[in-house]
Amino acid sequence: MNPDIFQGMIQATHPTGLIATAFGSLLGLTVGMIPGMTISAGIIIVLPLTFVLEPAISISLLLGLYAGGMMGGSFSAILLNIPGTPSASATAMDGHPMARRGEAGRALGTAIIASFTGGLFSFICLYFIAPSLAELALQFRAPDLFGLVFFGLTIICSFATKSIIKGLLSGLIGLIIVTIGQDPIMGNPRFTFGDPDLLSGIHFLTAMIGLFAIPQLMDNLLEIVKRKTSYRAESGFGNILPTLTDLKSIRLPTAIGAFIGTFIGILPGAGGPIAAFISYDYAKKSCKNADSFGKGAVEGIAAPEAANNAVTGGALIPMMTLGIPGDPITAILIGALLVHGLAPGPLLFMEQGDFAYTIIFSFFWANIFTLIVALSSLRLLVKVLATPKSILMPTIALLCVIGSYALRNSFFDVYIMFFFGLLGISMQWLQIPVVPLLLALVLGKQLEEHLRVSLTASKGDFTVFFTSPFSLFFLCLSVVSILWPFISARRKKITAAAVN
Amino acid sequence: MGAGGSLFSEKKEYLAYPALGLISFLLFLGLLPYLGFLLGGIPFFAALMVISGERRPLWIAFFSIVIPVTLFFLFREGFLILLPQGEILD
Repeated sequence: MNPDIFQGMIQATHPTGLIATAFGSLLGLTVGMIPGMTISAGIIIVLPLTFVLEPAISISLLLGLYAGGMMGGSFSAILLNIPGTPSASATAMDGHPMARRGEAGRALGTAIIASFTGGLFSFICLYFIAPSLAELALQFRAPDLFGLVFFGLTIICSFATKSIIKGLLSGLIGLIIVTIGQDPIMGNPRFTFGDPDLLSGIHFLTAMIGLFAIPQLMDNLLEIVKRKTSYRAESGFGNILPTLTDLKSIRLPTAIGAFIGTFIGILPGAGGPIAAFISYDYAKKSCKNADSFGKGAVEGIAAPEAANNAVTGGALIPMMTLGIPGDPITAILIGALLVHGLAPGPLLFMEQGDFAYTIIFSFFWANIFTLIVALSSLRLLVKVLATPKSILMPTIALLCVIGSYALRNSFFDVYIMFFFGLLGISMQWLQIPVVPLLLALVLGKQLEEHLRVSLTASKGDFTVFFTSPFSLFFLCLSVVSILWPFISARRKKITAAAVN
Repeated sequence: MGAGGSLFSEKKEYLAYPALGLISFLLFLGLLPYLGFLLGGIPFFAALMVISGERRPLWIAFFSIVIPVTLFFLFREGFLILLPQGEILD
């Protein structure tokens, strides 16, 4: 057996790491549950900490938050009919009718068990798939890596929104922003306008804080007009441990959710919400009691909940082996690793195999702790929903400032953060998705590096991208991912015409 | 992720609250190098609390002092992240 696996297992089970994971799970469950605060808000809270903590510990913390946040969203979906995170939207369809029937405990218990199972399944996939995928990816040379990163970007642009043009536009803005600073090959300053602050470019964590937190803050201030300053949920919801009959009936939908969730997690771009809805539909088609779906069926809670937690482990696979994040949270994980000089990618398994396995086993603990924290302190957690937004929102605002300042101890970054906040608000107004922009910021440098290294090696000959089989494969996939929205729209038109 | 487009689907008169929030944020950031995190953070926190609909003076005074001070010392002592003190205090 690979000695790195043991090393990783031991490092992930280190007491400090376990405490960090448990704290992350608790925080994730809390922010996931509060409507108007997503997992990104939780990440902003702990981001400054990840700069000073050891990499293994900060990763444990972030993974706990990721797993906890995915589960936490379902609590408010069930109790209040308001999904705490977008990924829990599908859970509300059956969860809330059940709670209104007075079976909130049963719904919550089902959600917890299904989430845990989905997460654990995705851990197993991560454990077995990631090392072999990394081994395959080791054979990639510069042109192949360019093709891969290019594909990662295009599929995110096309998945992120209904309008592919807006998705591509967002990705393009990100790529333009990435060119600010020293170029990755020669170190020539570009678009710095002589300002030394711009020499090192715009750090994407700074941009991320602004893009996600500031529009969220403004959304929350708007909610206040409607006098929804806090939520009160019944905390007397009876026994949350599911009965044996319930466990039996959620076996199939949980398995469906776990499979679909992991698979969708592996695909870059599509995340929790999509996985949850697809699994819900699929479970509805394959379960005997399809009629009770939407009226409060345990199966209708289990499928989307298993799916959105399975997405987490799935999304870690391309992040760790290829360095391609599938969603904003894995993008932030990459950022947290890069701050410590660790670059996720195929080389991570080769050069720092023990650390790669530390991440994998930390993810295992993240799921375990999320289950423990959720089962043991659910009643207490639900009380957090009553915390007034008038205290939460200013605290998040201050943490945005701390997070962006602490990265490089500069006021300049704080202003950049705010600039990206305004950009995020404008993009929301124009209905342009921000996720492609964020991922372009993460991947842009790599894309340019691989492109220029390949072209230098081939003396400027572009055919290198088409002669290498891997590169050609990825470029073809990119073309398909861009054309796909048009193809599927056309196909729908044709079938509609045929029906008429 | 993100709260997803609700900000601009609302009536225009509601936008006053987010606008006030942005303006106070901008003021806070502008004064940050001079006032520092603590002296600037306390009025900013209070302002955001008022914008969020909090009207009880004692609550506002309590939280707008306790939370920035806690954060400042937590990050300084606990995590060795030095937040700006401000030119006024130097």
